[in-house]
Formats: sequence, structure tokens, C-alpha cells
Amino acid sequence: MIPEERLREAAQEAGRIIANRYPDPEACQHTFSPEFEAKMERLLRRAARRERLVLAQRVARRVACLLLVLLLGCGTWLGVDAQARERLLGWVSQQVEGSQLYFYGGAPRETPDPTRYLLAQAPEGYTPRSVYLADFGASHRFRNQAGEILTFGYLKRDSTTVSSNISFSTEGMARQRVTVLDETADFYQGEQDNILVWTQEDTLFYLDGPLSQAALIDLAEHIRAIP
Amino acid sequence: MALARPIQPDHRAKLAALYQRYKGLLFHLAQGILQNHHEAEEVVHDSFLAALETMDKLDEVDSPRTRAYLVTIAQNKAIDRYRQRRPQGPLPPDLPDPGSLEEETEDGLTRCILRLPQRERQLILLRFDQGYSPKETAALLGLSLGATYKLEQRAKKKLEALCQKEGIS
Repeated sequence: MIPEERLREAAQEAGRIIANRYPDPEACQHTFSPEFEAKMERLLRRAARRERLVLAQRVARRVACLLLVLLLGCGTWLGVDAQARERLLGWVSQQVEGSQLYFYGGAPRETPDPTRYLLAQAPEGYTPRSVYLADFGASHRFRNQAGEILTFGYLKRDSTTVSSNISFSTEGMARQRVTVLDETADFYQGEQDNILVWTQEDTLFYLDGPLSQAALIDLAEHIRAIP
Repeated sequence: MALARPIQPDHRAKLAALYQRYKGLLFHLAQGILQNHHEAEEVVHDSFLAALETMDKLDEVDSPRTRAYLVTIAQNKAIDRYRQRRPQGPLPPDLPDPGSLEEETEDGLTRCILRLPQRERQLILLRFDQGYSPKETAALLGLSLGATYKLEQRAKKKLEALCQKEGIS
């Protein structure tokens, strides 16, 4: 059996040789047909429509925040309808074109929260692969020997940043309500990977990978907070 | 496929940049396989459509990983179209010709990788050069995860057989 490290070295060498044989993209000139250019323009408009949908969601959230401030200032409606208050003050989940979108529908945080979160320990058989850190959240990726990826991430409520929402592609996945630390959470069952989404105070967490519901919940219930 | 990414409102700009950068290369590759301008253009469009659906997975526009991703998609789509036209005929010519590539390395294992059949070689490069997971590789090759695992086992066995034949330890 060829050791994986050796295979990786040789594959990288082979990849480099093949890539060098492809012509430079700049040198590949072709005058595309008007029909093709029209199709590509439609594709780019489709990409723009997806952007506008995301931006519209952000505008809607800001309008909701403004309304909340006004109503709190008047001190009337939210004091009567507690269920409406949960929807506004917590994370909102909405289905958008085969994806599930989560965004914070409440008031923005006044001062940034520096707390970081980690899994108490890496899942069995997985090693850390990469980390993406930002003020508004983080994403940690783990990988096992089979090359399968598990992602742990979180998003804090901060309506002033671009990424104060998160979307999961859930087409074909069955959604269930489960509990994590006695709070309601969303579990999506896929063919290979599953997703668990839950909130703790005003932070949204997620786990995405080829683990069972029980294993994901166990990981979720053992998160470390680092102030 | 389960995938969690924050939505970044720059998909249009990134897609436009990818299109400007790689449309010519993808057309060149597709044309080499299909020998038909119209079909090659269809492949280019379908490749960028696939890229739009997986935009969050792509690295920077100019990264080798992004180029390899788009090239793989375009080649596979072109080969699929080729096979639709000629289901019983020979496979399209491999681009670039791996026979000539072996001369560029003295490493025996690398030469054996270059000598693998196109599908198996593609998998080895996606998994061990570009570092895609089995799930990502399955999506790129248009296979189920199970079929991808089997293809990987087959590729490794063929590689070992080639190495043995060449007397490479």
C-alpha cells in the first residue's frame, strides 16, 4: 500500500505538471456567440438576484429593529404579545430557495462580545483542519482519515456586519425539532451529512458533518466558552 | 448536500471575475474534446452555472484550486456530452496527452499517476493534490459518495499495479 503522504507528494507533482500544460487563461481567446453572451448575462443576473434577496433580508431586519425600538419606546404592543416578542428578539429561521436561512431579528448589540467558543474536544477520529475567525463568529473544520469534514461554527448577533446571517443548503433533507441543553434546536437529516442548529443566549451555533443526531447533540452540549 | 456558509453578497462580482478569467480556457478544453463550437459554449455555460451553485466552496479567483475545480467540471461536462453523442465509440482524446507528461518528472510514482486512466487520475488529483474531501470529490465528478469510494480504491489498486510493473517500491 502506498503511504498517503507519499501519494500526496506525487499527486501534487503530477497536478503541477498537468496544470503547467494547460494554456494560460489569458491566451485562450474566443469570440463567443451572441446567444452565449445573452445566456451568461442571464446567469449573472441570477447571481445578482440572489444577492438582492440577501440584502432585502438585511433591510427587513433593520426595519424590524427600528420598529422594535419605536414600540419599546412607546411601551405598548410587545408587552402584550409575548410570542411576537420571541420572534423579534431571537433568531429567525426562514426557508429561501431550497436553503434554510437564519438571521438575528432583534436589536443589535451595543458593544462587541469577545467571547469565543470551541468544542470541548475534537470528535473521535477527527483532527482540526482549518479555522476561520471573524468578529461576528467563527468556523472550525475537522477532518477524519477518510477525508470527511465536520464543521463547527457560530454566529453572534450583530446586525451591523455583512455576515449576520447564515444559510444551509437543506434541499432533500428532513427537518426535526430536537433539544440541546433543554432548548429547542433544528436537526436536518441528509443522505450523508446531518446539520444541527441551536442557539445559546444570543449566539447561533451549528454542526455539519457525517455524525448521527445523538453524536452531534453530545458535541453541542459540550461547548467551551473562552471570554 | 449539507453545507453551511454565511451568504456573502458578492456572488455576482465573483462569478463575473471567474467568467472573465476562465471562459477562454474552459472553451479551449471543451472544444478540444467536442470539436464543436456550439456544444463547447454550452459546456462553458453549464460549468459556470455549476460554479454559481457552489460559489461558497471556491477559493480566490486566481488560486490553482479554483482553476482545477473549474477545469474538472468543464472536462467532465464535455466528456458527458461526447458520450451522449457516441455511447459506443472510443473515449475522447485525453487533454493534455499524459504520455508526453511523464517525461517531465523522474519520480516513478508521479509517472504512474500520470499513466492512470483519466477518471482515476482525476480522482487521485482531486483527493490528494487539491485536498477535496470524498464528498466534495463526489460532487465534482457527478458520482455518489459510495461510487467515489469505490473509484478511489480502484485507482489506488491500479496505481500499485503500475508501480509493481515498473519495479517502483
